[in-house]
Amino acid sequence: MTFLDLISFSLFQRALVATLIIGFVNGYTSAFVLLHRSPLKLTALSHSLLPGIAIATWLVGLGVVSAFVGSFLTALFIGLLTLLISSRTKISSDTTLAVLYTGAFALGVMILNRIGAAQELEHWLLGNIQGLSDLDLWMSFSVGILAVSALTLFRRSILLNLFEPNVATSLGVRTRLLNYGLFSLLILVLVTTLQAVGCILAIGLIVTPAATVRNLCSSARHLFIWSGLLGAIGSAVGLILSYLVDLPAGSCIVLVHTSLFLLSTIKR
Amino acid sequence: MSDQCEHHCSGAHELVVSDITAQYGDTVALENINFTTYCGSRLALLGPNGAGKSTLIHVLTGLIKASKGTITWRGETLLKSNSEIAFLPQIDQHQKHFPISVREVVEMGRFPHVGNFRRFKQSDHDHVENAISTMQLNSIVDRQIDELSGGQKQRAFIARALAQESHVILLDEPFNGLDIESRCQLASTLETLSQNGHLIIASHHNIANVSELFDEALVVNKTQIAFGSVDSVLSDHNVQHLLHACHPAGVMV
Repeated sequence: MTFLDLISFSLFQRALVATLIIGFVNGYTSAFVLLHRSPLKLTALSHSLLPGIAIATWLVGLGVVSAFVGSFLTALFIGLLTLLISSRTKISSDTTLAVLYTGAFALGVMILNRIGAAQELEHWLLGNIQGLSDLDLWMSFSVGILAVSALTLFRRSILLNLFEPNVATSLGVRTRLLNYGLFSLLILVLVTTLQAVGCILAIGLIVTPAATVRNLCSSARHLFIWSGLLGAIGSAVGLILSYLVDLPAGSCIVLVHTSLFLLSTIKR
Repeated sequence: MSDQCEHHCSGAHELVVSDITAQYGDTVALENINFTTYCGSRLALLGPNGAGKSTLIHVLTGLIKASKGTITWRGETLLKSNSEIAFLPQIDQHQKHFPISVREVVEMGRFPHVGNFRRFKQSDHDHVENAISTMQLNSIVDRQIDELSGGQKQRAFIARALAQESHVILLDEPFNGLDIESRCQLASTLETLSQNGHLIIASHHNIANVSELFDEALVVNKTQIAFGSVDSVLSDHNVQHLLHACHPAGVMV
């Protein structure tokens, strides 16, 4: 099968559009994740979403909206519980999050088994970017516009806050509001991507592109747009490869981005 | 060295701190602070570790809200951050390996004037260029901030304060971590800035060179111990007892 054959398939066209949108939005957001130094926290948080999806499946059946609401509420709950425990004990927020996410993940697996929906675990982990519903696509597109707009419009505040938070406050940036807003936005992007393409691909896309670009770029301003473009192009290449070699799209996309990252370290 | 403040500041611009108390939760970090100082002065904040020097700087910057008392600048009560007051934290407080050039750091000083949405006008570019020239950063303006020495970084951060069009520059332990040459350069820079009309307020822990670097001193140890000209403050018996008890060689650790 050649690329020209591929492009004529409507199923592929749809998957390519989804990949380009999700790749760009997550790549763009990955610049913030990198500068915020939160990839590991985000990875941990993504695993804590499973019980939200499991409980939503249990209560109202699995659907785009129910999974989204369940995941979002669980992420907020785990995030706030982490803050509460780390502020009241001598345990750091990193350790608290590590404890809570493993517990949450185990709880999610247990609930899915109990309700006879264990197959959802594989979907949650690996997803299927070729099989997105219209609603998945529209949610990804809407959240993507919101995320890219917010990260672009408030870039000055965001960079100041990331570079020197105290100076940002002294210069008039409303850092607390900004931090809460960005955390919510990050969760929104993560949850939307995760339910569309699975946990592994979501984390790969929201972390790797900016890490690759950072090895080649020394401007925080340019990091965002280049990471977005790399996210889109690298993901599209991964999708095309997956069709050509007949392997899962999510894995191919992640491996393309990982390979590009490793190449960028050699260039460095 | 010329900078913008000489056009705006005058000795008549005063900073009045009245009966300030600051707390972290229920713990009182600092209380009963009272002093008045003017543009053109260099004021040293002295005291042992944990005495409240940084807390006072944070209150003046607007990072911490005073639980009691008022601060007025040019006759107006300060309730939050003010673009005429610039803050320079300790030199290692910024995020390491952040991809940002010296020029981009200086441009950050324009934030109070341009906010998130307004494009840079020619006047904004002029302020940035003047600040870069004033602090003699032209040859390193495109370098990454992480590639600079401590002294060069300090100059970049002062340039940001100048681009901000600040009148008051608050510095937290600015001489910490600098080599001798950089310390001399910084001392000279602060002197010139004060001569140009800026009010310089800096926490400092080496009493051996206070009189060379500053005109006024405020000694705190949770509360105000003394305030006045450096010579009068250092000759105070209580101050001598407090400061020399911290370290006989004159460095408060």
